Amino acid sequence: MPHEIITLQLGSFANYVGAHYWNFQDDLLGLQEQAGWRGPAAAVDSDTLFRAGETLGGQPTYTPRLVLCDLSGALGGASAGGAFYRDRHQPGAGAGASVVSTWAGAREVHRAAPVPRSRFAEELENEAEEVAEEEGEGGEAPGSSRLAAAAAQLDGVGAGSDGGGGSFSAGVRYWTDYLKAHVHPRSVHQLAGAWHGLTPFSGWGDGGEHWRSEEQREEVMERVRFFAEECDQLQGFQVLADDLSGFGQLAAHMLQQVRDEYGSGRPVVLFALRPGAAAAAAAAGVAPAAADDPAEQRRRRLNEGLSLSLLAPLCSMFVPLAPPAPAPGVLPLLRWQPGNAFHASALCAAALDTATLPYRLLASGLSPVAATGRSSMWDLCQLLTAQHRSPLACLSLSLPCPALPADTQQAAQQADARTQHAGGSGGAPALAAAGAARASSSGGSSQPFTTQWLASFTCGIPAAGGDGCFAESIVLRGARAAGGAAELGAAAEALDASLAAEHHRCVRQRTLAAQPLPVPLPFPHIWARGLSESGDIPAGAAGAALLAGGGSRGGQDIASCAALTRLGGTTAFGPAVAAVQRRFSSAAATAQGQAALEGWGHWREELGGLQEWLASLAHAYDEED
Amino acid sequence: MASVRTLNAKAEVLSKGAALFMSINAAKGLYDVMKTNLGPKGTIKMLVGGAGDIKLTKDGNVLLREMQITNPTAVMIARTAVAQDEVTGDGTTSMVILIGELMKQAERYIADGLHPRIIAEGYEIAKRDLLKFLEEFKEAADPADRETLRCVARTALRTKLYEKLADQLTDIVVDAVLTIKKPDQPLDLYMVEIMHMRHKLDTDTRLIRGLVLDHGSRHPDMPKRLENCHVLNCNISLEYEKSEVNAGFFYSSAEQREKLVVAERAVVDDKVQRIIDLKKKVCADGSSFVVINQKGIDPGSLDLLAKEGIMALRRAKRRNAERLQLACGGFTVNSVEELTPECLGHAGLVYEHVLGEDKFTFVEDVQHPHSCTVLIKGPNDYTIAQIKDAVRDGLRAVKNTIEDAAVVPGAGAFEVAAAHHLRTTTVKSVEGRAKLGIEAFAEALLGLPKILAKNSGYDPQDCIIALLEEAERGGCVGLDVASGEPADPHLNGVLDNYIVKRQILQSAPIVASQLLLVDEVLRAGMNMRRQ
Ligand SMILES: Nc1ncnc2c1ncn2[C@@H]1O[C@H](COP(=O)(O)OP(=O)(O)OP(=O)(O)O)[C@@H](O)[C@H]1O
Ligand SMILES: [Mg+2]
Repeated sequence: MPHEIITLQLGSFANYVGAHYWNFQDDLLGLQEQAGWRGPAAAVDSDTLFRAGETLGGQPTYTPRLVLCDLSGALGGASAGGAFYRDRHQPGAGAGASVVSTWAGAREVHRAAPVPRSRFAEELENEAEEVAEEEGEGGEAPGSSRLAAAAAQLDGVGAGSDGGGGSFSAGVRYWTDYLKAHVHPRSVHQLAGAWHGLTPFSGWGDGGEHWRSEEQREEVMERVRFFAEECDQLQGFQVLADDLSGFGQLAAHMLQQVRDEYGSGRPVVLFALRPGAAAAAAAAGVAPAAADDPAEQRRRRLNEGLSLSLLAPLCSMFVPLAPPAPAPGVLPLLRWQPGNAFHASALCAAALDTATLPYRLLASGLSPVAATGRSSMWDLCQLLTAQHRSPLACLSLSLPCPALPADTQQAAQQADARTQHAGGSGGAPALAAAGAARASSSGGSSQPFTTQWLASFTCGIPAAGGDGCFAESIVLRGARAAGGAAELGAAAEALDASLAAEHHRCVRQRTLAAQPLPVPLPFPHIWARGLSESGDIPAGAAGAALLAGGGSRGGQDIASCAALTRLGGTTAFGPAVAAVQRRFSSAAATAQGQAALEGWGHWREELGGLQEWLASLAHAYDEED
Repeated sequence: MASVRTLNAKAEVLSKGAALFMSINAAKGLYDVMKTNLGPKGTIKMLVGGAGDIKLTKDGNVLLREMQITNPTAVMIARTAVAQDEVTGDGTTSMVILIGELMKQAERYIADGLHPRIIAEGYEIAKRDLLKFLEEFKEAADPADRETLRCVARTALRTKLYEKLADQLTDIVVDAVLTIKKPDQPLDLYMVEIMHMRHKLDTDTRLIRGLVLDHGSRHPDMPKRLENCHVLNCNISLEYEKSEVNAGFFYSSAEQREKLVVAERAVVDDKVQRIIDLKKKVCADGSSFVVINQKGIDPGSLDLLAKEGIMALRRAKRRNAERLQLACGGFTVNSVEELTPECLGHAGLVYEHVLGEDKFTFVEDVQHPHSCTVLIKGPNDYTIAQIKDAVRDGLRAVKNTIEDAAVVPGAGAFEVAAAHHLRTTTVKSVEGRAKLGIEAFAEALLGLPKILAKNSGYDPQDCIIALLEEAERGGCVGLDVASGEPADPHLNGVLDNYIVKRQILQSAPIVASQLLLVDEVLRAGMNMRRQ
């Protein structure tokens, strides 16, 4: 029986990330089916995230257990009712007289300019129809190459290569442009009267008026209840939120109710998405504010302080998440544009899909061993947050993850001989004792592969939490060795050896899965040209050139890729929180800051408490225990 | 809705007068969109979104929500209308129209060189006097008189739905409110649940004296239909979950962990057993037992309950627990220690209805319900949504009537009488140019019956002249939309809510004045900033 999880996505960028996340899940479902539930993908329990249902017409459906919020119009050309449950009786755009059955008098039709769907979304639907028509006939569907071309167009690659009609614009404008998975109509909540690209929504309290009436609150919480009522063993909630925007306060309101209704025994893991001004604005469909605009800076400082003091305390785990800025040595085989929301969100989703594997794996014994190190969401939160009673955690990603050292034995010898290997396969967290000093960051292949291409996704915190890391959950999936897939056992050994070579002592939980990160068709083409189908780098000079940042992007033929994430608790948050508190206090002290806070419903009397809370959070890491 | 979304200027760069001009234009823009809505002969609007999604509405408030409004003046007017809806549940279209008319009338005088402040002063005087006049004009209504309640409800509903449908709903909303009404207690409309079902070709609305829940039991062996039921309304977790006690606790061994799990399970099973014990006690006479729980019930617990023939629902929403208590009696139980036969409610019939993947549970045939459900069936989401809005409007209209213990004759009767009053009485109380502001207000009020006439296909000027002549002779006259002739609205039972009119009178002139004085406000604002 699955231990269900409900996913909440709050905000435009959150939905960008979510769309990629569900595309990964959709690919996994495909792989599971293909391999008859015997391949490596079978280790993932899709029932954790998905629900089975049926349409009014009796068609079976399988859709994410998801509630998402966005501004009105953020779905672009996609119908909010979704494709599955669409009203067959609804006569679409050609609305005639007969459809108004409630009014005998005059009728006016107001038609908004149609928003074209992406070429990819169109092709996806065509393909689904073709498949439905010629059910059972073997062979490649004729639409699949068109679909691939349309997917390439999403990223501006190969635009116009097909004369298929000028109404499709290249590039992604909405997250529905590339979402593959079908979403249940109950999942989609658009804020009435707040418009994508028009209504200002970048301040913490800008969503306040959408939580005023009981009707509004009920509309959202009833969606959550719809999914929760079905669950036999609800494990917890995972939340993606644009917390530094009007969705921040909304998220806090919602989670307060989730807490009240579903009990404190159900963890809430929140990924606070901070994509940077350009990508955030692109996802929201607005022009980015100038970075040096004082009003903008002030707003950001207030947002940060409020999120940490009002939202974080409601979470079992709170993970600030942002794609790293491109720099030499940071994810050296990826060529992404930081201001591109489609790219930035894809990176976040890749990190998320990997880091959330531990609580999505099938209970052991039910599947052939294709994964070890399953852990419930509850245990994961305990592991990372209990020690200092702080919900904050940081996330790092290595994508592709470097191949395991050629000779694992040799690597193991590099490690301190006294190192105690983390016992068996997963299970209880093990202490890896080693010397105090961490491996020097000399770079090059002498570095343990667990830190080698690792990039921090938590702004202001070093990769893997730095020296202050006191607990972490490591996930290694689809490890590669010598141009092929590594065996799980060998991967585990190499992982332990590499961790030992880091010479850092902390509580660890490690998860290994044979299933690499699948690369869905509409994943952006940010791979360096020259990588193999499995994400391996070419040997010798060609590989070195790629690593040095050479070559263009556009390796499209990558089907899957090894990935490694490290989700950690670290004392590095102490000074980071203290800095947030200082910035918040100074912004709140100005007249404009105070006016903004009051406009968001936070009065002066409340501020002292918030600042105190921030201070105590910063000091939570002080004493050793 | 492009007409109202354009102008969005930086106030600072506007020269004197320009801000006012733009303000008036924005107000007129909204006015133009909304005016065809008004009244029982208005136009319904079908809004087709960028993705082809359809919304259907004849309600000003809903329409405003669907417009992309960025112009600050339009935003301000829209906010006022939304506030109007929150306070009274009706009159949003009239509000936008009256503000628009007040701006239009003012524009004419300003064009002749009159200072906006003079008009604003006139509006203020007119407003104060009209609020007094309304107190005289309103008619006392007996909250217990069903016929009056029906008239008000029907008037409201017929502006949203075609007659036959409106008339069917009239009795439903009146009965719904009367069901939840308890002597000497404020009315809580949340005790009327509005539930919907999508049904291919069926449009139908029913009042259920009882409760309809949008979920069912989660066990295949549970009964789907029970009669003569004890209903346990509880808020008790019947599932194994990690409790706070375990927080921060690391299991030192798998064995220990296993032990804890077993212990937790035993706690849950014990709770279920206590419910079963109660069931056995009260059902010895052959009656049946239903559990409606706000918390979860896990499969193990469902199993135990199913074996006893108990129907159990989990994760009921909190509101429904309240409604259940009012519908069936008994009270909500928060722990198994409180379980007694006295806490149970009763229902003659509880059954499940399945529609695709959706399940509904009907709790019916209850003795003295103080909560009920309006169940709407419709062929598609936009039709259901529109009927739902109308039902809400109807419920509010009945509630307002009961609370006001008063009504106001509709069909423009109040506006005509009020204009007459301004012109004959109020105007005498002021000197000089402020009289112009009063006249402007009177003319603006007449805008409403004019639009009613126009929407009904009559010549607005002819109608207004006829109406004013009748008003001259004294007596209460409104527009008969069927004939275009003046008629006493009482004859057709066209009655509006007192609070709706009062709220419009209170807000519209204030907003209009603020907009008229926008230049002064802006300049003052800039001065302040420079200091
Ligand atoms: N049968 C009728 N004959 C004439 N006038 C009527 C009749 N029924 C209603 N009216 C008038 O129509 C007006 C109400 O119209 P309508 O309900 O469309 O707009 P509203 O109440 O201002 O706004 P909302 O859109 O919020 O309901 C009132 O002035 C009322 O007196
Ligand atoms: Mg009305």
